[in-house]
Amino acid sequence: MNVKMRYENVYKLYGNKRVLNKLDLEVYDGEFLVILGPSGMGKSTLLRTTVGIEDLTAGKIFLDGQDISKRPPNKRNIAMVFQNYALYPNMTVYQNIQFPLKMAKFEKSKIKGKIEAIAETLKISEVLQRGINQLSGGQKQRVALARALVRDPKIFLLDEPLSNLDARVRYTARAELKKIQKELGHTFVYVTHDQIEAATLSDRVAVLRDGRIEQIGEYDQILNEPRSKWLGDFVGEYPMNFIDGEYLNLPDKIIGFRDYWIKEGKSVSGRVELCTHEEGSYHISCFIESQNPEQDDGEKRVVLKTSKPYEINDTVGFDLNRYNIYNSEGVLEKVVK
Amino acid sequence: MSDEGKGHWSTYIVVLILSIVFIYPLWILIIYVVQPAYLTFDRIYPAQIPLAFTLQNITQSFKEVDLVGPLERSLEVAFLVGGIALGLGIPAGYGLSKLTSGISNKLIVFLFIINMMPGLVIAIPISIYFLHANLDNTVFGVAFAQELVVLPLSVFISLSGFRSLPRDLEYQARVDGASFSSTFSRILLPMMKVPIMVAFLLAWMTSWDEFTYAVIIAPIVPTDSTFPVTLYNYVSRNLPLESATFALVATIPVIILAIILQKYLKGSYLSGGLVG
Repeated sequence: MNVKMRYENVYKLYGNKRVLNKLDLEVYDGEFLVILGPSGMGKSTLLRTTVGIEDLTAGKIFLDGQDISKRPPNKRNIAMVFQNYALYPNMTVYQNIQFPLKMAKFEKSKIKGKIEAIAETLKISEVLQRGINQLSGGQKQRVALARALVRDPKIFLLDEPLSNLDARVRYTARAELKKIQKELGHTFVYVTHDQIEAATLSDRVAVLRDGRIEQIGEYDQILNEPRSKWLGDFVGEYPMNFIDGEYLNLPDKIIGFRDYWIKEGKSVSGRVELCTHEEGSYHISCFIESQNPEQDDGEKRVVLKTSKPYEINDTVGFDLNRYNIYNSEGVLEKVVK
Repeated sequence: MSDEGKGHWSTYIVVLILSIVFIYPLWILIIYVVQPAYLTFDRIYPAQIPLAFTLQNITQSFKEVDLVGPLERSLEVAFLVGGIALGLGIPAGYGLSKLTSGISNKLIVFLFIINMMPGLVIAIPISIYFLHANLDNTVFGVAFAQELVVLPLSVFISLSGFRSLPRDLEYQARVDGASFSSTFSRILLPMMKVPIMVAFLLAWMTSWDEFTYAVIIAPIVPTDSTFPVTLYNYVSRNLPLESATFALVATIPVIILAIILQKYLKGSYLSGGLVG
């Protein structure tokens, strides 16, 4: 695939704090790349330095092969949707969408048609003449998106644009966002801490940790084969379970497995602490006895997905369908399926 | 009566009391000006409600004295002071808003040092400089001197306004392709309407009412001085009827300006642009 944008040895320091730390990343043309990570890991900073509202401390960013690192924001031809949408309150919806076209000195006779077309796509035609404070949250999100899409920039950056919507609207907005991206074929870089957004929107996911990419790939790949214990813990609806390798005769190793990679058996056993019902299945949280009680308080909590309910203090035994082997440093060594 | 109802009525009562306190002096002025003197100045206890109406006091006062000159001069000075206060205050406030609040707050306090001193202490030395610069007895001279009082306040209001603007709107404009000047003129300034109007109104009213610098920089000649200085001349000559008339005339431009600008003095102007 063609590389649309490339980050090369990118650093961003605030005082002594390295928010972006030797970050290297390639964004492919036409892909929906989701930057996933917990708060404070540098996700928003990555977008803000990309768009030019914050300077890089070191490193370079290339867009279509050209170094844009030193260009001011208005010369980068990158669109961005901020988390709070940043709609101009002194303008109507129409004027908000028109603003980037005016700044680009777009041909006046074509502006109206272009705005109407994008408004049609995003279903906001009926609110074009309204003031910003007359819009619902979902409409504001669409207007912000329309303003970004209307001027055909080279790449789109979106900073958690759905996080301010309520759950039902967010679900619809997610589907529409993905549809629009595919239909228009634009390159999207989308920042979120939301696992579901990453799973449903992305072509690829890049997980950011302490200012650098911890792993990049398809969501399922990162979910099933996280390169580190930290990733296994962070990615997924439930954290990956980690137990001593001793259980599978793998001394000095750590076994990682997802809650649903189990079947009834006797390899490992534990005591049920809590059982919750979730749409046709059960999740049990249980303590298993550790093989190294001196190292970790003698017990380990794991979360398992089962088809039947358990009572508190029941004993549960299980075997693993598949698992990952991590070394003592927490780095993935082998995937066993 | 419910608690909500009680709160409602107590609010009205407070508003009524405050209105009486603020409006009463103006009311006294009006009934002195529009009534014959035998009902007001000639009485020990003048009536608090109008018993007769006359415009003779006003016409007579304007016949006796050239008020148009001082009024024009005061208007020129006030608009110049308001204009300079915005012209310098807005960029200064924007610049200060880019600094850390620790530094910008110290600088603002430094600007207010002038206001902490008695006006005469400042006015006398600068009048000497203004004499050398041929700024004495000029509209510019009075306006520049009055800026010493007005400008720190304008910068402070402007700084507070810029600080309250979400930084993301400025960033968004830059991302949308706007240059710095376009961002400033098309996005920031329109959102600063309220602080700008407040700063202008305060500067204008301060200048309109200002006496110390005006009396030192401009001479005490009725035809050349500003309106407050002229008014002072009549008060000191024991011409109470003329003084009351001129005082009433002096309030009219302030009221007109406040009415014109009040539509901009809305707190909710910025609402809705940001979510979350």
